[in-house]
Amino acid sequence: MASLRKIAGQWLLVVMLSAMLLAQSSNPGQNSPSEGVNTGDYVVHSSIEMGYRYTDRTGSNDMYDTLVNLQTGPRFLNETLSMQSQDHQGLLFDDLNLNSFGWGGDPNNALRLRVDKNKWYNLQGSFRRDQSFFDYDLLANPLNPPSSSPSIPDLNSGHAFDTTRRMTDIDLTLLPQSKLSFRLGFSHNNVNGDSFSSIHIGTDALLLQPLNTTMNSYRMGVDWKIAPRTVLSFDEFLNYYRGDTDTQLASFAPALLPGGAPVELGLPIDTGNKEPCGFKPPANSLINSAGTLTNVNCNAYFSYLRDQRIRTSTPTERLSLRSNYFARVDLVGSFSYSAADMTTPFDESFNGLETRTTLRAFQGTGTAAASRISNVADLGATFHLTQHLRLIEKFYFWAYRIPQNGAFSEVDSICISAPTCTLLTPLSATAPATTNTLTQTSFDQSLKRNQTELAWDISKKVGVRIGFRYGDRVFSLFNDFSGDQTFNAFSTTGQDRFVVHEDTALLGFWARPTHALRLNFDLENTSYDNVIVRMSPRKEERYRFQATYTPRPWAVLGGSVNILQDSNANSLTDYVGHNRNYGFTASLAPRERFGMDLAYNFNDVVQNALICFNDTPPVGTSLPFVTNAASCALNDAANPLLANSYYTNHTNFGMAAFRVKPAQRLTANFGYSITKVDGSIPQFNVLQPLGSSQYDYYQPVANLSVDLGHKLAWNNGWNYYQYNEGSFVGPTAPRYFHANAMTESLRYAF
Amino acid sequence: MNMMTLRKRHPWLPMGLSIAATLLLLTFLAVVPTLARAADKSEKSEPPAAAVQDNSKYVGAQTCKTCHEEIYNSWEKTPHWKTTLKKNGDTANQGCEGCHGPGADHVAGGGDKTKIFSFAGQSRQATSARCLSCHGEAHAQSHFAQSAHASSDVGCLDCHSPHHAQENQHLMVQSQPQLCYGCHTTAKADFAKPYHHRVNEGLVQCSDCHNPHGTGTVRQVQTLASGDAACSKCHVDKQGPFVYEHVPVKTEGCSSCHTPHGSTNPRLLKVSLVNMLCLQCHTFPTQGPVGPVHNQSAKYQACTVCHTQIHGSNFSNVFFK
Repeated sequence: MASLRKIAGQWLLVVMLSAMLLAQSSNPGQNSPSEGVNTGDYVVHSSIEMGYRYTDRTGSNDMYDTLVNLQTGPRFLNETLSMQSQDHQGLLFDDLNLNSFGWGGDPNNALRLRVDKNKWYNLQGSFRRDQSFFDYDLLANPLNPPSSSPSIPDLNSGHAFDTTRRMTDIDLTLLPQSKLSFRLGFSHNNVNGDSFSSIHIGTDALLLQPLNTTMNSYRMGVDWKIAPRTVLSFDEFLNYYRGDTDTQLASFAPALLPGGAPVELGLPIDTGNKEPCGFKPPANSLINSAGTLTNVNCNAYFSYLRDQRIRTSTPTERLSLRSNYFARVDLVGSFSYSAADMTTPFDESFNGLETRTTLRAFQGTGTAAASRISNVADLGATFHLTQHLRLIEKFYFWAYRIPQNGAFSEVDSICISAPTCTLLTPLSATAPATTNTLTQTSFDQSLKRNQTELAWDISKKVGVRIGFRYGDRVFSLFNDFSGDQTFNAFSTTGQDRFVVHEDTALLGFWARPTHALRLNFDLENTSYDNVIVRMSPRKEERYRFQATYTPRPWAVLGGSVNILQDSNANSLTDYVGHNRNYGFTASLAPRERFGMDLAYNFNDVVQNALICFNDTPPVGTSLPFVTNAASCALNDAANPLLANSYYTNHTNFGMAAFRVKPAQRLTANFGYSITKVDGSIPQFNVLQPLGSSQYDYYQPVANLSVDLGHKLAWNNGWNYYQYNEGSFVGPTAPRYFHANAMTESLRYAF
Repeated sequence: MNMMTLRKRHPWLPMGLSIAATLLLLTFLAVVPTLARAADKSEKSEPPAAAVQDNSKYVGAQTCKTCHEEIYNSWEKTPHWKTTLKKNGDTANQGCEGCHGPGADHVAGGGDKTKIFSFAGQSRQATSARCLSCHGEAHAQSHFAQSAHASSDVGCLDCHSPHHAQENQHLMVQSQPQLCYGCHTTAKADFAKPYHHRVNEGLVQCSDCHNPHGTGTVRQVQTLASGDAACSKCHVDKQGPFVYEHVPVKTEGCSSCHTPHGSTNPRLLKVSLVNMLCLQCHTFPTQGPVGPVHNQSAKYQACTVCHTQIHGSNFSNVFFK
C-alpha cells in the first residue's frame, strides 16, 4: 500500500511539474524533433534517454521474474545515432545508423549498427544480450505430498535457471556493386549462468549445472555477376561449438546419517510411496528431530559429478545461383554440403545408494562421437507465361545422416551383502562390476519436396492460384547397442525404416475490390500415408483468411481467421486436433491529438489422442476422463488405463491503447491488455494443479511525455502486471503476483 | 490398382513422374516464351535494364526535380539517390529514371503520366519486377518470385517506400514487428502471450526466423545453410549431433512440442502438462516407443524430472544425462 502511495505521489509530482513547464513555455514548436546538426559533411541526428525504473512486487517474485523480470535501478534506456553524408560521398562512410536499448540491468539489451559507403562496403552488426530467468514451479516438480513424513514441498521448479545469452553478429560486404563482391561474417553466441537439472539414480537428485555454451560462426562468401542480373555465389561457413557445462549435486532435502555424515535425499519426498524410502516404525518420520535419517536403507546421494567437454565443428559449403536474366524466367538454386563432427569425453561419478540394485557408487568414463552429414538442394523457378499468368516451381531436398558411436565404461561398486546394504556400508564392503557399452547407430533422413503452383492475376483487383505439393520422407534408424541398454520400441540391433509420402492441394485467392479493401484466402489440404511419430497427422488442413480495410488514411481495420485442423485416424491413436484463431485489429487516428489501437483475438486449441498409462489415485478419488481399457491392457499391460488426452485451451486476448495530445508539449498514452486462458487437461495426479491451463494476465499501461524544451523531453511510464491462476495452488508456492513498474526518464534528442 | 499399391511396387514413381513432368514443362517453356511474348506484346512491361537503351530518351534527375522538387528532396536523402553517382553512362539505371523509365517523352508531353512508368497504377507484380531488376541479385531477395507474399499479391511497395519511408533501414514503411502485425494479426496475439519470443521487446525480429522475401521451404521459414531450423541459430545446444537423438526433434522439428511465436504454457509448450505431451507419443509399444510404467499418482509426475536431456543426449539412450 505504501508503495502505491509512493507511485501515486510520483505521478502527482510529474503532473504538477508538467503543468509548470507548460505554463513557462513560450514557443511550443521550437523543441519538436530537430533537423539535426551539420558536422562537416554529415547531418547528425542523435537521441539518448536515461532514467530510473522502480518496481514494486507482491506475490511470487519467481513468477514475476519468469514473465517480466524488470528490476529497480538506473537505466540507459535508449540511444540512437544517425550520420548521413549530405552528398553521399563521406570519407569513411556515407551513412551510419546505430540504435541500442536496455542497458543497465534490463533483461533485453540490443545494439544494432549499420554503416555503408557507396560501392565500397556495407557493414551490419548487432550485439544482443538477454537475461532469462525461469522458475515456473510446476515444471519438473515432483509434487511432494503433504502426507509425507517429513513433508518437504518443492517450492521451485526443479529445472529453474537464470542465464544470460550474448549474441554478436557482424556481416561485411566488400565492393557490393562490383562484378565480384566479397562477404565476411562472424557470429558469437554465449550462454552462461546457473541452471538446475536432475538425475535419476534410485531417486531424483537436484543438480546444479553452471551453463556455459559457446558457438562461434565464421562466414566467407563471394558473389560473381556472371551476366546481367545473374549472380553465382560461393559461401563457406564454419561453426564451432563448445559445451562446457559441468554438473554437480545440489541440496534440496539434506539429512544426516547416524554418525553425522551428510546425505542428500533428492527431490521426491513421499514416504507413503517409499520415495526415496519409507520410514521404519517405531520412527514416524524418515528424519528425526535431530535431522538424522531413521532408515539408512534408502536411496540417497553423497556426491554426484559429471563433466563433459562437447566440441562440435561444422564446416559448410554452399554454391548458389540466382538469375533474372531471362525476361520471363526467374531462377534461383543452391546446393550446400555440411559435415558436423562432435566429440566429447565423459566423466561421471556417483556416491550414495540405489537400493533396488544395491549400487553404492560408480565411476563412468568414455567418449561419445557423432557426425551429421547434410546435403541441401533448393531450386526455384517462376515462369511468366504471360504478364498475368505464371508457373511457380519449387524443389527442396534435404538429406542427412548422423552416424553416432559411444564407448562407455562404468565401474559399479555393488554391495557384497545385499541384505545388509545401506548407506552406511563402506565402499570396502562392495565388489566392482564393470559394464562396457558400445553404441553404434545411424540416424538418417531424406526429404524431397516439390511444389508447383499456377498463379493467375485475373485483373489488378483479383488473382487466384492453384497448386500441388508432393513430398516424400525416408527415415532410417540403424541400431547396434551392446551392454545392458535398450532402445524403447525401436529394434536394438536392427533397422527401422519409415517412408512418408505427402500430397498437398494448394489454393489461394486475393482480391482488392477497392483501393481501401484487401482480401486474402489460402487453403492447404495435406494427406500423409504414414507417420514416423504417433502424434504426427495423417490429415492436415490449413485455412487462412486475412482482410485489411483502410476507409480513411487514418483508419486501418484488419481481420483474420487462421484454422489448422489435423488428425490421425489410426484406431490406436485417434488423434484429433485443431488450432483456430480469429483476430481483429483497428488502428484509428482521426485527429492529430487523438489516436487509438484496438485488438481482439480468440484462440481455440484442442489436442486429443488416446493415451495409456498407469495410475493409482488415493482411495476415494477418481480421476476425470480415465477408464480401464482393453486396448491398453492388451497392447501395453503395464499401462492399462486409457484416457482421451483431451487438452483444450481457449485464449481471449484483448487490447486497447489510446494516445492523447492535450497540449503541444504533452503526450499521454494509456492502454490495457488482457490475456484470459481457460482450458482443461486430464489430471493424472490429484496434487497436480491445472496451472497454465486457467489463468488471467492483466497488463495496463500508461505513460506521459512532456516536451521540456531545449531538445529535452521528460517521460514517465507506468506498467502494471497481474498474473492469477484459476485453480488450486498444489503442494508448491503460489504463482500469483502483481507488480508496478514505474520508469522516469529524460530524453535528449537533436 | 490404387495409388498406394503403385507406390509400394514402384517407390520411385511419384518423384519420377514429378521430375519427368518438370522436364517436360521446362522443354515446353523453352519454346512457349517466344510465342507468349509475341501474343503478349501489347501488355509487355519489361524491366528498365532489359529495354534497349537509347540515351536520348533520358533527361536526368535534375530535370525531374524542376517539377517534382518535394519528392526529389526526400528521395535525395535515400540510398537510391546514389545511383546518380554512376559514371558508367548507364543512364537507364540512374536516378529517377532508374525506376520510372525514360522521362524525355513525359517531359515533352508536359508531364503526361502515360509517358512514364508510374507505380501508382501498376499491379504488384509489375512494380515488384521493377524493384527486383536490381534487387533480385541479392541473396536475401532471390526467392521472392516463388514466395508466399508474391503469390498473395504482396509486393515490394507494401513494405518499402522509396519516397516516404518511415524507417531509414531498407526504406521500410514501418518498423518490425508492427509492419508484419498489420496483416499477421494472429502473430500479434501470439507474441502478447505470457510466454513468447521477445519480439515486442525488440530483442528478436520477425526476420530472424522468416525471410519476408521467401525461402526454399514452406511458410518462408529461414534455415541454416546446413538445412537445420533457424531455432539452432540461438539455441545452439539443441542442434547436436547427439549420440542419442530424440527422433521427433529431428524428424518433426521443434514445433512438434513447442509453439514458436508464443504460448500460454511455460517453455512455449503445446500443452500445459509435460506428462501428457510425452504420453501422446509414448503410448502403445506397437505404435512407437513404449510408455512409462510408473504410477502417475505415486511418483514421477513430470517425465522431464528424469528424462532431462530430452532434446538429445550423448551419454544416455533414455535421455537421463
